[in-house]
Amino acid sequence: MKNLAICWGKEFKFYFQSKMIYLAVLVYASISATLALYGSDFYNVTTINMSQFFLYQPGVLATMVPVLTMRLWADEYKNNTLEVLLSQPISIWSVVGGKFLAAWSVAVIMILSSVGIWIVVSLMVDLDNGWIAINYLITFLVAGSLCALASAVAAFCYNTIAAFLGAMALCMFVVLVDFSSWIDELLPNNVMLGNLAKSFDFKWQFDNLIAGQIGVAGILYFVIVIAAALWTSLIAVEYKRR
Amino acid sequence: MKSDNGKNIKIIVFIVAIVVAATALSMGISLLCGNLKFDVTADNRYSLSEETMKFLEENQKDIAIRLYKDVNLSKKSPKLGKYGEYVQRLLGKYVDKSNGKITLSVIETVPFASTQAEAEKAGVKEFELPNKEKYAYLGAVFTDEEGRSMTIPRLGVERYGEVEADVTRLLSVLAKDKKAALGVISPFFRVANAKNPLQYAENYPFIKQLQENGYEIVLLREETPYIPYNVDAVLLFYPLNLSNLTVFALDQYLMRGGRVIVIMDAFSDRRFVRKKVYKQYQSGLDKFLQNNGIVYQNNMLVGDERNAKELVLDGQKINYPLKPIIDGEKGEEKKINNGLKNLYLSHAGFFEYDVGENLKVKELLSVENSSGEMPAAAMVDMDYDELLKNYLPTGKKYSVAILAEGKFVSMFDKPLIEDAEMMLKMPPFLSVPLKEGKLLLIGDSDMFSADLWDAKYKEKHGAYEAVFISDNMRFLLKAVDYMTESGYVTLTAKAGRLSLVSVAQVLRDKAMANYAKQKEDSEKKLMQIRQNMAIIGDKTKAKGLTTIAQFKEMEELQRAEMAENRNLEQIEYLINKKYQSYLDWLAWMLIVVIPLGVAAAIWGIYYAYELGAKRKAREYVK
Amino acid sequence: MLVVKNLAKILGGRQILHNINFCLKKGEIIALLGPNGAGKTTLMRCLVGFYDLDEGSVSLDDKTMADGRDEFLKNMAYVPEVGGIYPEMSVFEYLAFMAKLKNVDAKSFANNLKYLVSALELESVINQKCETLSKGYKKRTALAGAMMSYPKFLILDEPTEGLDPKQKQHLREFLKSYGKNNIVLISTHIMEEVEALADRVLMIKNGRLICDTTPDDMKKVSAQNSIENSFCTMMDV
Repeated sequence: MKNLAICWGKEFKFYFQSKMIYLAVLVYASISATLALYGSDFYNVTTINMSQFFLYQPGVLATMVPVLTMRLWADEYKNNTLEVLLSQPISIWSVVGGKFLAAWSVAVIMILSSVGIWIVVSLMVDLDNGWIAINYLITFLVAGSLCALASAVAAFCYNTIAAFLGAMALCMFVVLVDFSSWIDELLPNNVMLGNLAKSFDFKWQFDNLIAGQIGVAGILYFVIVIAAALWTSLIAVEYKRR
Repeated sequence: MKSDNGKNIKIIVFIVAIVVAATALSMGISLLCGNLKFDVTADNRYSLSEETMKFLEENQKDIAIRLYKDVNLSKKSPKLGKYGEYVQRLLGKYVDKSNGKITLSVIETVPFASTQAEAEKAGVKEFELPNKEKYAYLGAVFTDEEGRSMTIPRLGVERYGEVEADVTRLLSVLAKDKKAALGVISPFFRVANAKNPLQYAENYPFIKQLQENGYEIVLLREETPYIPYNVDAVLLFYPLNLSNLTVFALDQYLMRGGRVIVIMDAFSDRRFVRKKVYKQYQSGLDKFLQNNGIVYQNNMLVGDERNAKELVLDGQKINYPLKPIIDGEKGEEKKINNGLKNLYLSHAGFFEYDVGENLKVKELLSVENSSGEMPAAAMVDMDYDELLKNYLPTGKKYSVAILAEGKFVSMFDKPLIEDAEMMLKMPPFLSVPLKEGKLLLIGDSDMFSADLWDAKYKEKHGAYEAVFISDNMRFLLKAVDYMTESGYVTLTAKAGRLSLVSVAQVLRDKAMANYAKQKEDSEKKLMQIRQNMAIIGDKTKAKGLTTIAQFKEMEELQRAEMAENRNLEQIEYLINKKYQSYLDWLAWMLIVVIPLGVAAAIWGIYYAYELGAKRKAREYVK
Repeated sequence: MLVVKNLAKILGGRQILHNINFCLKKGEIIALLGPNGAGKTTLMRCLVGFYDLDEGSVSLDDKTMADGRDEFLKNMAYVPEVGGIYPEMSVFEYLAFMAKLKNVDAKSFANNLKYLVSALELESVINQKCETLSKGYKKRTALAGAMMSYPKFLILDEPTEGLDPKQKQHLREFLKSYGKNNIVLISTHIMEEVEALADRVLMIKNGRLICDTTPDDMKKVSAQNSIENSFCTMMDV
């Protein structure tokens, strides 16, 4: 646990040292606000749960998270630090977990930078603040799963560009692909398969969770995605050590 | 020596195994925890009420719900699309909690396809939309195992607070093997008028509401010698000069343990007396009631100063105490009054009672402490100032609705009808009660006129489009449920909001506020000018000719009117400009200023941390 | 004491190391020699636990990887030929990070930091970012980082590469004194360094340990009595 914290601390500081966090916050907060205001009829139909803001979050995060994770492993290879790091008396889990948690922490800070929208809008209209707070937590969870997926891709890549493009492709695929419609198209009356497809559908799970009804299955879905992606990262690093 | 390729294959197998394991785990969780959900909304929009949960637990009947939803609902109307999703989730909750008794299928209606025809056939009606797409479907059909069907033709956003009440109601109706029957006697709904028995239904649509809420309405003649066996209760709405024969029928019905709801009034309705002439109301039941120790005071009206509604008359606000708003929660019979907060009455008469030991009276609705009274006769041909002079605050308790249960005393000692053939059809005469009866008395028929409970009463609509402004209809439903012992579930509306006053509206109001005074002044000026123009117009009309002075004056006024109109346009332009500037300000704030501010704040914090770290490093090295 | 038994490693389907056996004792400075591609770096990576072994074992004071990664690696340190430091970190941040990884307590950290910064002349750059340092400083920072825990077994890959003569001299003296109580393994191509520093020479060719001797004995292989010539002679065989 201590080693995990040490690795997290080092990676977390990296985002500040490399000034990446400022760029991420600026770009993310601006894009999110722009999409919320102009992506749908925000001014005229103001929903009680700021759904217009959350609607675009998976897409925005799928773009921003690869920026946060692209240097996680590529820089270690570039600077020859991986062999130093992995010859220390710490487990590989700590390194993988620390890197993931650092990216997730920065993603959380990035998401929190949009709280300004919530505050400004709530000064004007009466929002369901509890619901919005929960939706923020769900967005953190989604960011976590995207961070885990993107860092798994990054762990396989030796350079930054490849890590960014690979992670972006995977995140976009996960977020945008509508498995349930595919199944509906291919096998229209197969309820069982349809439900199964839905349970895999990232966007469907997210939409379900932010609708005001927190399903345990939905939360576990994202937790499993995180666990599976971290495991894959671990395998990637192990693979490179062999 | 082990081969390196073997390791690669192992890793690939390992990754595949992880994916497969995660998939299996995810599927398992979906199946096991799919129904485990928590409602996080402030208005608990996904939580079913205790009554609904109890009903679902006890229900033994298989009921299928078909939700007809336009395939492009969200595109056609985002608001309706969102609402459709919400209703679907809520219905899903019913399914989850029904122990497999309730099933839900969502049918996407496609324009001009068989699904649309099917929806229409099942009674689902289209929404007319303001945009290019003219209509969309969102309705639900409930069918029980015997094929009995009930439909909510339109699931409208306005009925957000009522949707659970509607759904549970329909389910509870279908859960019963037979619909409960309510006999209705009223001069408003005459059986004799075969062409249109419900001719006053537009003013008193509660009959339609009762029908749509699961009751079979049996219209009985005003002159009826007996109450038929097939009704579960009788509703006398506005009984007017009932004949002795009808009173005999009701008397005998109560002797047999019958259940009667009587809705009376302090006034004779204008339909039955000449306009603007006050005539004391006579139900014809007075003698029967007095015989049982109950008096209906219809020569006095009940007032309530605390709940007095502010009325705007000729631009002036006055405190008008004759439309009391009553808290139903204070009523004694909780099965009827529970959860009913706002009950509006208008010019109600009241009940006084001193009953014998065989009867038990429960107060349902009453006005006290801040109460007062006024002679009913003073209501006609008086202006409101005069009316208020006649109002006498008393602080007494006035009962405007009561429930009498027990053994009633008969008014008759022998059968009223001597016709032997008729006697054979009728139940045997009873001079002493056979069973305990129930009599529910309400002292104001206006309580159920559409304008006191439905914000959209002028439009033609059914139960599922009515927007309640009070709990009056719900009070009647609960009262009828209680009296007929139908076992139907009547829920109170869920408080909460689906949508908000928009940001645009707030900013527009803010922009307007800047120019409110100027606008008001300008509008006043314009009104003055038009009034002056009208005065001159009247003068010229009266004389038949226009003088030069009048002509000039008129010309000047017209010029002034034009100038004032231009001024108003200018003000509107300024309001719009201000509104646009607010929108721009908001966009700048959210897109540029706040992100920059947050980034700067983070930089500041880290900079301070870095300075500290550097100092620490120097100290270590020293 | 570091004991390597029957060590073998396959990378990319090719066997890089074959049946390596040796034993290093406390107080020894050992030079690891071999032509490019002989397997020196792979051997070092195997020793510090970066690579898993395909066969054989490595033990330090009777502890192997099987006794736990933390336990086995806490007394080892490795400095690669290039890099090995984080460019965005300041020298102090890097040293603090390495100390934390090795679980060095606060008091030891303060003492070690003070000693190493002064011994390796890093005071002037303590708050400077690593990416802005010159090659010499980078090397010394990486070495300081590796030594934050005073490891029993220190492995250096070309430690004096890119240093000016004065720095080389200074570093050699530093390593010599450190090697008195610990095991220091240096991989190098510079024969002058072998002569100046090493007590013992391990020579690898094609992944096989072909020689385990002292520098003086090695010199005798060539007619000129020089290590460099001996190295060339042995590689040609």
